[in-house]
Amino acid sequence: MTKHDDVANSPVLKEHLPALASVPAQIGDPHVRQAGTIGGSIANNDPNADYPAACLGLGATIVTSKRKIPADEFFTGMFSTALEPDEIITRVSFPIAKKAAYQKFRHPASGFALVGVFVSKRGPDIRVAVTGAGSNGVFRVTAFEEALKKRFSPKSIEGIAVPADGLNSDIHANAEYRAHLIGVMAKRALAAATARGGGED
Amino acid sequence: MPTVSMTVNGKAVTADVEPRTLLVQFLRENLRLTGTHVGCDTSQCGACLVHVDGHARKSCTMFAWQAEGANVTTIEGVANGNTLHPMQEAFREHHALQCGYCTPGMIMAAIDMVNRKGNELDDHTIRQELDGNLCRCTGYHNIVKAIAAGARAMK
Ligand SMILES: Cc1cc2nc3c(=O)[nH]c(=O)nc-3n(C[C@H](O)[C@H](O)[C@H](O)COP(=O)(O)OP(=O)(O)OC[C@H]3O[C@@H](n4cnc5c(N)ncnc54)[C@H](O)[C@@H]3O)c2cc1C
Ligand code: FES
Ligand code: FES
Repeated sequence: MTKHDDVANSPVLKEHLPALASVPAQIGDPHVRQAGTIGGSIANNDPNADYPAACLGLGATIVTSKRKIPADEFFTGMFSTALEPDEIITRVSFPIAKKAAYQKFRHPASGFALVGVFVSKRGPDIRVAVTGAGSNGVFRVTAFEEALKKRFSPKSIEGIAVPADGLNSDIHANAEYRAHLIGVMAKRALAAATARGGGED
Repeated sequence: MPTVSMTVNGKAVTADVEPRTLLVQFLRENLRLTGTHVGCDTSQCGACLVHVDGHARKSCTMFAWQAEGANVTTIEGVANGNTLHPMQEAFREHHALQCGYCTPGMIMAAIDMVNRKGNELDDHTIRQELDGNLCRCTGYHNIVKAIAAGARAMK
């Protein structure tokens, strides 16, 4: 599978889907990025990993030795996926979204996402995917997605609170803090996505 | 037990090892090249950095068999006889070590950094690139100075 460094530095991605290239660029350190792969990252489905947010936030398709699995069905919970024991990921296919961005609040020591939010708009398909916060791993914020249908802008989600129920509380951050961070990171991601994508669509 | 073969510091080596043998174990225990250190065993600290086919790799996070047929360089392989590598010399000159535990990994990371980023490295780049190398003693300042100087000396 493709290494983090190769995705981060891909000229094709930088031109057509820079939001995706930005995700592995923020993973770990230079040596981790020269060793770790996208397949390993999403098969592991660490609840604080970055790639699951990109896959769910772009509506990727995970291609395996047996079938094609939409990201919406792939991530089934903390460190769990739809993969069967004898099934291996061979490819991940991403649609191009002009308006897309990832914003990560890095844990200052580990570098993993305390909260990371990936947003995208592709025609009517609007996605807001959150990693690092959910006690069941990566998830979509439908309340934000609904509000963004009217206008894909940070303003549209102002005042919408994300409930702390079902979010992680640990020594690094409690559920209320994570809930707050989701709103903050989502707004930053939306600002970056609209700056990148320009006018309508 | 499977056989692994690779070139380490220019010498061809072959050994029978358990499949789960890590590259760092192979280097330290089979070859007795104990300059490569283990600080964490979980890919965090960089004390185990070696070059595999010219790329810096954390040798605690790969199996020996993953280096089958590869060209491996450890800290023992960077000097030229009794003449230190310019990066080693820079670490000595700038007092970039105290206990020395992190030093082999720091030097292997620094050489890799120059190979990828060139001979003129600013402090910001060096600090970012050292994200995966931890030092519990020095506070990093002299390491950063040494790497900038070593990088220029490697021209
Ligand atoms: C110091 C450090 C910092 C890190 N920081 C971050 C970070 O900030 N953000 C982040 O997201 N991640 C981070 N990581 C995690 C890193 O991204 C993963 O370790 C890496 O992506 C794993 O990839 P791998 O290819 O090495 O997989 P492996 O470790 O080899 O495999 C992981 C799991 O996936 C399975 N697997 C691997 N490939 C496939 C495949 N193609 N199909 C099916 N199953 C497969 C393996 O059997 C195993 O169960 C960090 C790791 C380290 C060590
Ligand atoms: S021992 Fe390999 S990174 Fe720490
Ligand atoms: S000099 Fe002691 S750990 Fe770096």
